[in-house]
Amino acid sequence: MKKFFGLALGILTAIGGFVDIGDLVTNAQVGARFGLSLGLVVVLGVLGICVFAEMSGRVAVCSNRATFDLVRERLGPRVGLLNLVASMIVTLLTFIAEIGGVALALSLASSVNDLLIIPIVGLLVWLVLWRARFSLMENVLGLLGLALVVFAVALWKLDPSWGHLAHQTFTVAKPGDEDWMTYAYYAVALFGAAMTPYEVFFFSSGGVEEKWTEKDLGQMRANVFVGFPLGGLLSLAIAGCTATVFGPLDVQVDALSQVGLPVGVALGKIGIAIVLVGFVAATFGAACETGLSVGYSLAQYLGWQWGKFVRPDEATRFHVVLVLATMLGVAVLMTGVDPIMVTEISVVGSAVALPLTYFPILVVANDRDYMGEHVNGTLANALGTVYLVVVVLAALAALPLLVLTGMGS
Amino acid sequence: MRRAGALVAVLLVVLLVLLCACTTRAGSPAGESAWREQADKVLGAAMSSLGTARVVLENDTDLPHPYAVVTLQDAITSLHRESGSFLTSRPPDDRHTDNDRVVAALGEATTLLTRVSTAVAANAGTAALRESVRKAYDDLDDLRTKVAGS
Repeated sequence: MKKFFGLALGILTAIGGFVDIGDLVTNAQVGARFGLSLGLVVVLGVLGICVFAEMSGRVAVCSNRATFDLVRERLGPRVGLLNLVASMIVTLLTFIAEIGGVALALSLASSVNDLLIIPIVGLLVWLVLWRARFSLMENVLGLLGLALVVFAVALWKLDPSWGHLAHQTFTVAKPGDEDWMTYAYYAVALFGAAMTPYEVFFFSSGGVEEKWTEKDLGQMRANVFVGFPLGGLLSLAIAGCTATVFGPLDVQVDALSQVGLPVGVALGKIGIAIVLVGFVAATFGAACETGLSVGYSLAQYLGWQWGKFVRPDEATRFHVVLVLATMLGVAVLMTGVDPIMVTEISVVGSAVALPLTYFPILVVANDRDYMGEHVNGTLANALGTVYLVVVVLAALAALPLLVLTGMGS
Repeated sequence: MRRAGALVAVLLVVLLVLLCACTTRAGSPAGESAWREQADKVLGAAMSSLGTARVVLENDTDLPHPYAVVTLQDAITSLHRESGSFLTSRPPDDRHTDNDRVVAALGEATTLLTRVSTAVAANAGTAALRESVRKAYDDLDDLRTKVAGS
């Protein structure tokens, strides 16, 4: 029974923790402009993150060491540094966007200007990173994040034309008033949002934090292959909601308030209350994950003591990085920069950094010295190689598309 | 290490060049197609803000008060942000009349959005504003078709 509860808890927190500010904003924007015509990109991205998260989880189980540690050892300091710089920039941007997202969500609940809330959010994030137990942080925020299931309920209540949504999902067609370049830009942004690099670093480092052993492989795979796809369904539900409410009015989504509005239309005040809990939990949880990922990646590359499984005074440099990253995030947001714009840049940045993140994982997962009998099989390698080609194409297209479409405008 | 640094530097330079390529010289009038594109974009943004206000007004009794207020403020902010560059750019010589109509429509949309936001914040009656917003939305749609051709 205890094992069953552990499995269920793991899957539920994986669902609740899957969606972050990038998924919320990008799916809502795409739904309002393109309906579900980019739904298959979400499916492609979710399958991709499953492939590489399972690989990095297996690496953590087999070696008891996290990704950056092994990347530097296996591929050398140069490739490791390139990997570190690219993923640190993207993860820091995502961290800033998540802190801003928490502030925006609290602002929606209180009408207080988000600039007044940002320092408090920064302080709370740092307190959780410093004091809270890893499992407590992951489980509480992951379970609260399940409140975002309200999008699926709202979509059902909105009663859209299901046949039309299904037709949009399975045909590669854009709305008549959009051009293919913008369509491609949002496809890359959605892919980047689904395959954000920090998710893999956090997942593997979390495995080390929680001292996974070979006995935990089944639980890890259940979390990845059941929890992540169900989380991906929430992304599609968000797009479906904005497609139904905003699509006919040509509304462009550029504020978090608009993301939750369809839930209010469908379910009223109760719906808004639940969706706000979901927004806060999803963004706060992701802020903690990205903040930790910044510390993890730097500490693992430089060989410092890291993690929440040791006392803060035994990993002082790791905790100093967390403090500095949080202060930087708050300082950037206090300039008045729009967190939604930071989010848009971070998801495209993710797409650019994808090959640098996922190629080393594929290499390490193929090394029998680290992996032993759990080295990549034929299926994992085939999927990994196909995805590597896809992420390289997405990375090459991301910046030109960003410039040529004026960030999809 | 040196090669990795050089690669990062090259990527930064490429990014800088691409970004510079997107900027236009200040003070020069926009070309016909650029102006039409800008007008289309800014009228689309105004329709988007009014569309959001329409959804809020049609459901204002079902939405928590702070949520409705912030959503409308966001709609105004979004329109301000989008219209800023259009208002400061020079139209092509044969588009001055159309440009004036777009600027006037943007002003009317902003005023209407402010009235809606104030009424909702003050819990005042919004029934009359619903019709005004619907009409303004349709007028913008017509103007967008006429001047921008979309």
